[in-house]
Amino acid sequence: MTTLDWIVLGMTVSIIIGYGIYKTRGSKNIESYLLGDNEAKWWTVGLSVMATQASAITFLSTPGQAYHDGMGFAQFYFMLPVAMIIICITFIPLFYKLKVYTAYEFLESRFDLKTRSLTSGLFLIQRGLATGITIYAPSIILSSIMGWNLNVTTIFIGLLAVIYTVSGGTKAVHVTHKHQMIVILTGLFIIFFILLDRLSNGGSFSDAMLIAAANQKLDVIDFTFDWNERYNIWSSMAALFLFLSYFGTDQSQVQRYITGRSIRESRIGLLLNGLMKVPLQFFILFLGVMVFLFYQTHKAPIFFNEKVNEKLYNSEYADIYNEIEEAYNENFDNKQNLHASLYEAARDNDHSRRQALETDIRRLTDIEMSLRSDAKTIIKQYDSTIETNDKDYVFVNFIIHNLPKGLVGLLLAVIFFAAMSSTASELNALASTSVVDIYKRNIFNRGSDKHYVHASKLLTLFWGLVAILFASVGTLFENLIQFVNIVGSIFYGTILGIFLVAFYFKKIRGHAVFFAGLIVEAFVIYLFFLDIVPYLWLNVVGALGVIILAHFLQLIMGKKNGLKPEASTHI
Amino acid sequence: MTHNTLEEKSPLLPAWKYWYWLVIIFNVLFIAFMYFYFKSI
Repeated sequence: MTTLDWIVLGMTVSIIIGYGIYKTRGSKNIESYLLGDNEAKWWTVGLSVMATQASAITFLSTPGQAYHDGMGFAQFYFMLPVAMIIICITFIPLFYKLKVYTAYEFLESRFDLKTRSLTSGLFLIQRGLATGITIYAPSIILSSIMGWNLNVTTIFIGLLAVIYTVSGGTKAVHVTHKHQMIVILTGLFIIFFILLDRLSNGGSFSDAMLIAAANQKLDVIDFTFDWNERYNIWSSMAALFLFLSYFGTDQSQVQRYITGRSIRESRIGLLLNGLMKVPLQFFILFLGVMVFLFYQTHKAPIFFNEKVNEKLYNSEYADIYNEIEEAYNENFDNKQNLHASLYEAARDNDHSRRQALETDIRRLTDIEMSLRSDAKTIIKQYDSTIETNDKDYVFVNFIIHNLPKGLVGLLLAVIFFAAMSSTASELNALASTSVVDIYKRNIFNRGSDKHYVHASKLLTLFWGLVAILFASVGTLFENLIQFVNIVGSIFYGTILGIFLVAFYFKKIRGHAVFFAGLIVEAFVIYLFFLDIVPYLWLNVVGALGVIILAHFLQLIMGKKNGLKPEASTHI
Repeated sequence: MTHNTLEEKSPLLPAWKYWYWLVIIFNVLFIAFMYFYFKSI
């Protein structure tokens, strides 16, 4: 990284965070600190919802995913707009009507205190674990590829998010989210135009797209039903449950839209996300395909974390590693010849020749993949602790080696902001839930407004330190990201089930839904250990399980415990 | 609390159901366009 990159990175980060802290200093009451005085306009709500969902790993992993597996991951988001609409129709009016600070507060008004505490407890466990990963995942990639110290990177990202979230609460999160999203989107568009320019240099853009099609990178929809295939049109149905849980019941998202100036602003904000998310996801994936196309004319490293390559060149495995790399280079040259023939066949409209060439290209791509796999085997033999899944390194490797001076700094700021924006929302939500649903409701309810603002600040700091600590020991756990995704799916289904019962099944009461929640949660955990259901589907099992069992328990329990009328909520 | 009321009628804006349809139709058209465009290459 050049001095100019450091200056751009430092200035971008310090200006946006400094402005956020300055603009939102001095929240004196809990409403201002946790709800931002309900001042957010629709674009703030929309951008904040998007910034919360898009973590650094979204920008690091997604293009790498498209590089290896094509555009299929886009299917995962197809039902997101439907989830936005359901939340606009059902969830938002109820949250506004009851004037809640947290989503779980609504459950006490609808059911009882124990259901509220159970659900907020499940959220705290799940989100408390995941926040560390939001910081850890980009830190491990950046520290590895840039040669930075892992702990310093983790603490730097975590501490900055903690400082402005503690200082200004929800308002600071919103103000910084807006500017962070502008920098993130600008950065992505800059990369798009640079890639477009580089691809046009080696031939026309439509020629390049022929290669993408030949390598099956442009297959968006997979209609075949395969239970174990993570991304097809059918698994996107399961993702609907995940999105409903995430946007409708996860406080880190709920807090973004219940702070809107009015119900209208909140709804338009969510619909903005419903309009932009699918195209944005296509765009990020397409960047990955463009990086793939770039590396069809420029030789890609055999393993995208080049610090690892350097280690191998200086080890006892150097000879065999070089041998694999020579075969890889030869394969690359052969591919170049086929590409030239493919352009020709397409121009001549020679369909049969084009098909034959596409088959040959795919064969060479398979050889390339197998040589990469051989390289990974050698890496594992050299040091079994090295992460050999290099998908997450593809995009950042491209950024570092191919962007002009200054822009590398800007793009690193994009990754930092993406990590901080998600972390800040999560800390803000963890503190709100801890204070409103646990501390104030169950432990100490006679404090002054000032007392609860202090408690919220302290708990934001507490959760921030927990996240940084968890991120710092992240290397102790194998496959941590996958682990946390699974933890999310284990808890989200039950939480969603409880909320769906609350919204749509008016006859079900507190005891029935509480015990249904406990039993189904235990069953989902048991199912997870049996390992017979892919984890995305655990959301469906949890949600439907709570709805069905709550009906059954309500039948058995009868009408002993009354459904509360529209009582005011306790906070 | 300063939450605004649930009422939010405005003569300048269409009813909410039209906004919802707009989101659905936009996404369906976008996905269909991308699917067929990529398939045509």
